[in-house]
Amino acid sequence: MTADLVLRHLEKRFPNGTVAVDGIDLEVGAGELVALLGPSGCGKTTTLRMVAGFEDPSAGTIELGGKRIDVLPPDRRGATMVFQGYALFPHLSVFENVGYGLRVRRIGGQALRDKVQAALGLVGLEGLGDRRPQQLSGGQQQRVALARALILEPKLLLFDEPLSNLDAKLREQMRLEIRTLQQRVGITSLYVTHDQAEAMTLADRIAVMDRGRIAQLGTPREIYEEPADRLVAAFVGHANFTAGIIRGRRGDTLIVETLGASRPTAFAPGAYAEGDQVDVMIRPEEVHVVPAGADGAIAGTVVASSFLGGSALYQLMAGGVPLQATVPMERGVPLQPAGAAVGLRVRDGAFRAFPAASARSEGAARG
Amino acid sequence: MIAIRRDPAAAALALMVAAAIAFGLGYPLANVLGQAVLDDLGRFDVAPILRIFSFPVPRAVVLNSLLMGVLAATLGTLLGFAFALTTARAVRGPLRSALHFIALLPLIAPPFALALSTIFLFGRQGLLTRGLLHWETDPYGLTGLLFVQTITFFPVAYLIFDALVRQLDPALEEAALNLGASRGRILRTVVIPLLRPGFAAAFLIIFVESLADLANPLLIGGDFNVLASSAYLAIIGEFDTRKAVAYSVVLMLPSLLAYFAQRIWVGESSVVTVTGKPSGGRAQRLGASFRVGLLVVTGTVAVLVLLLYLTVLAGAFTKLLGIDNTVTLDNFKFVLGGIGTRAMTDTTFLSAVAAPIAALLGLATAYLVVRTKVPGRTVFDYVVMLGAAAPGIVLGLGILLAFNHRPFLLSGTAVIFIIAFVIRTAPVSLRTTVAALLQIDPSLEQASANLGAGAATTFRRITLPLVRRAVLSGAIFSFTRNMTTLSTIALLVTPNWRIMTSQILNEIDAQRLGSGAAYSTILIVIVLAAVITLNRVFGKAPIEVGA
Repeated sequence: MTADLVLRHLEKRFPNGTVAVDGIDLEVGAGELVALLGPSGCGKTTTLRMVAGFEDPSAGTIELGGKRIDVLPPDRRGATMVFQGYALFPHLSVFENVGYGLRVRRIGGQALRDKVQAALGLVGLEGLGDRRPQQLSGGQQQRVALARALILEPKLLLFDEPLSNLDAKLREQMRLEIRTLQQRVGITSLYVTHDQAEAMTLADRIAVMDRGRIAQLGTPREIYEEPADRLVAAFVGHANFTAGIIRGRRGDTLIVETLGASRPTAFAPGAYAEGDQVDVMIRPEEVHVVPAGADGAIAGTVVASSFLGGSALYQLMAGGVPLQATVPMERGVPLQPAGAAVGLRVRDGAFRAFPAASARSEGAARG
Repeated sequence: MIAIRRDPAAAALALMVAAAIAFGLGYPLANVLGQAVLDDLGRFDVAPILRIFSFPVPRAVVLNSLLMGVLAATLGTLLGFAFALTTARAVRGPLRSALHFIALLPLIAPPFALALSTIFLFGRQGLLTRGLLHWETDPYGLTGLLFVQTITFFPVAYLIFDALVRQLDPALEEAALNLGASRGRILRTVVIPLLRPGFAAAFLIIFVESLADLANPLLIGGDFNVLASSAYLAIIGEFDTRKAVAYSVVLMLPSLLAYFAQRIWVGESSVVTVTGKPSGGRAQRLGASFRVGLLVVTGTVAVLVLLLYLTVLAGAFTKLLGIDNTVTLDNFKFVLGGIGTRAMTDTTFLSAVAAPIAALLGLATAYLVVRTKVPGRTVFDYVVMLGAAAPGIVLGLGILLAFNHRPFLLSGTAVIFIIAFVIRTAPVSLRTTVAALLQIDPSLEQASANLGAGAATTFRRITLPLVRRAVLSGAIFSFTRNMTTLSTIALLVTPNWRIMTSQILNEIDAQRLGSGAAYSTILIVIVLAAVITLNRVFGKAPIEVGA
C-alpha cells in the first residue's frame, strides 16, 4: 500500500509548556482508514486538528499525496472534516450546508443541485434538503455532516469523534454506515475516537495514543491480541492483571509463576530476566469457569455475577487476585451465585507478560 | 482561528479600530485630563481639582452626587428585583406580560418625559398633589430627583434580574422544597444567594447611570446640585472651562471605578443572553401573602409609570396641564412651526447616520476580541467600553475641547455629534455582539475554512449572518439612545444643528412645559416608530444558535 498521508515527527507544544503531541510518525495508505485511539488528553484530537490546519505544528511535517500541506492554510488542504457536534451552519438549510463547499468554489446552478442531490442520496437523506439542521434527528445531522465533507471529493477525510453525540444503538449503526461508505468511496481517512469498539469496527489500522505518543500501531486484531504495553492492553478491550515472577524461558515464551503455578506466557517487547516481577494480562473471555475442584483448575470464589444476554459476566477472586470472566451462556444452565466456590481455567497461550507497573518507565520510553 | 490569525486583515482591522477609538475617545478624554492637570502655560498643576475638596460648595456637590448615586442605585435595584420576582414567580398570563412591558417602558423614554410629568403631577401646581389632594408640595430637590431616577433606572435592574431568574435551574428550588424548606426559606436561602451577582451588577450600573444623569438634576434637582449638572452649568452659565473640567474629572473617578468593578466582579454573567432554551421542571410560585404584597408594590409602580406617560401626552395636548386644561394642538403648532421641525430632522438624521457606524465599530471590536489572536485584544474591549462608562457630560466636554481647535477643528459640524453618538453607543453593540459571537461554536467557522472558504468568505457567509440580530439590535439601541440622550450633546449644540433633547431643555427652562411635553411626545413617537419599523424590516425569524 502506498503511503498517502504522512506525518513526520509531528509535535505540538502549547505556550504554557504542555506537550500535546510529542513527535509522532504515522503513514496512512491510500484508501486506508486509520483510527487515532486514546483517552482524553492523549493528543489524538490535536493531531487531527494539525492535519486540518486548525493548529500549527511546533515541529514536524504533514504530507498528503506527496505534497506538504502543513504550510497551507486550512481552506487549501483538500482534507474535509466531520466535526464533533457536526458544526452544521444553523442559518442554512440542509441543501445549503451540503452545497457550501461547492458554492465557495463558485460552483452553482444545475451542477450544484445535481451534486448536492447525489451527496444527499449517498447518505440516505433524499428529500430533506429544505430542512434546517435543527429540525433533523442526531443521526440525520450526522449524515448531513458526512455529505458536506464527501461532496468535495477530498483527498483525505478527517473524523473528530463524529459519533460521540449519538445514543448507543445509533452509534453502532452509523459506525457500519461510515465504514461502508468510506470503503465504497475509497477515501483515505483519519478517525479520532476514544471508543475502542468504534475503532475496532471502523479502522483498517489503529494507532493507540498515550501522552502525546503513538503507543502502538497495528490492525485491530494485532492491537487486541498482542498489545505492546499495559496501557494498550487495558485501553483496548477488558483486561485482568495479576502479578507474576519470571522463572525461565522456553523458546518464544517466558515461564511465569502466576496464580499459583508456572505458566508459559507470551510477552511484550522488552528485556526480561529470571526473577523479574512482571504484570500478567488475561482477557476475560480466556477465563473459563468450571466446577470447583476440577482437575488442574485454579480455586476461586464468585463475588458477583450478571446476565448479559449471550454471555455472563463474573467478578471472581482467586488467591487474593480479582478477576473478570465473560462466559458464553447456555440455555438452562444457571449462573453461579455470589459466594459460590468455582474452578477457573485459563488456556496456556492466553497469558501475556508486561514489565511490572512499578517498572513502567522502561515501557513508556519505548513509545 | 488560525486562518484569521494568518490573515493580515485582522491586523488591519485592529489598526482601524485603534485609530477610530484614539480619535473619537482617546483624544477627547486626553483633552479633559490635560486641562485638569496642566495650567494655561502647560505646567503641571492640580490645584483646581484639589480645590473641589477644600471649598464647601464644590464639596457639597461631590457629597450630593454620591448620596444621590447610592440612594438611586439602592432603590432602583430593589424595585427591579421586586419586578423580576413578580413576573417570574408571582403572576402569570396577561398580567405578567403587562408588568414586563411596563417595566421596560422607561428604557425608551427620553429622561425628561418622566421628570416633566412628575412636575405636572406632583409639582407646585401638581395635578395630583395640589389639584386633587390640595397638598403644598415641592418635588424640586433630592426627593423628586430620587423618585424620577428610580423610575428611570429600575428597568436596568429588572432586565438583569429577569435574565438571571430565567437561568435559575428550577431543579434547585424543587430540591430545596423536597428537603422541606418553606417557600420563603427557598427565596432567602436559594434564590437570592444565586442572584447575588445580579444585585452587584444592578447596583453598580445604576450608580454609574445616576451619577452621569444630567437631565433630571437640571429639571427637578432644584438647589440640589450634583457633579454632572455643575459641570454643565460651569460651561453654559459661567463659561468656566477649568471648573467644568475639575468637576468632570471628579465625576469620572467613581463612575469608572464602579463600572470596572462591575465588569471585573460580575463579568460577562451580567450580559443578558437569550438562550431560548426552555427550562425543565417548574419554577415554584411564592407564598400567597408574599405574592399579594409584592404585587401591591409593583402594581402601584406600574400604574404610576403608565400615569406618568399619559401625563406627558396630556401635557402635550392641553394649554397648561393643571392650570388650564383646555385641549389644544397649540403646543405642537408652536413646536413644529418653530425650530422643532429642524430639530426633528436634524436629530433623526444624525442619530440614523451614527447608529450603523456604532454597530459596525462594536462588531469590529467584538470580532477582534473574540475571534482573533491580535495581541492586546482585550484592551480594545475595555477601552471601547470607556465610551459608556465615562459620564456623557465628560465625554461631551472632551469632544468640545478636542475639536474646537486645530488640527481637528470640527465644532459646529455634524461630525462631532456623530463622533459623540458613535463613541457613546458602540459599547452596547460591542456587548451584544460579543455575547452573540461567544455563542457561536468556533467549529462552525472552522468547518467553513475546512470546506475551502477563506477568512473573508467565512465572515460574510457564516459569522455575519449568525450575529446579524446582535448587530441590528446594537444599531437600534444606538439610534434610540442617540435620539434621547442629553448629557453627551448638551455642551455641543450650536445653531447649526438642532437636537431635540436640548430643545426640550430650553422649553422647560423657559417654563413652556406644554411644548416640552409636545417635543417629548414627538420624540417618543419617532423612537417607537423607528424601532418597530426596523424590527419588522430586518427582524425576520430569529436563528437559534446552539452547540
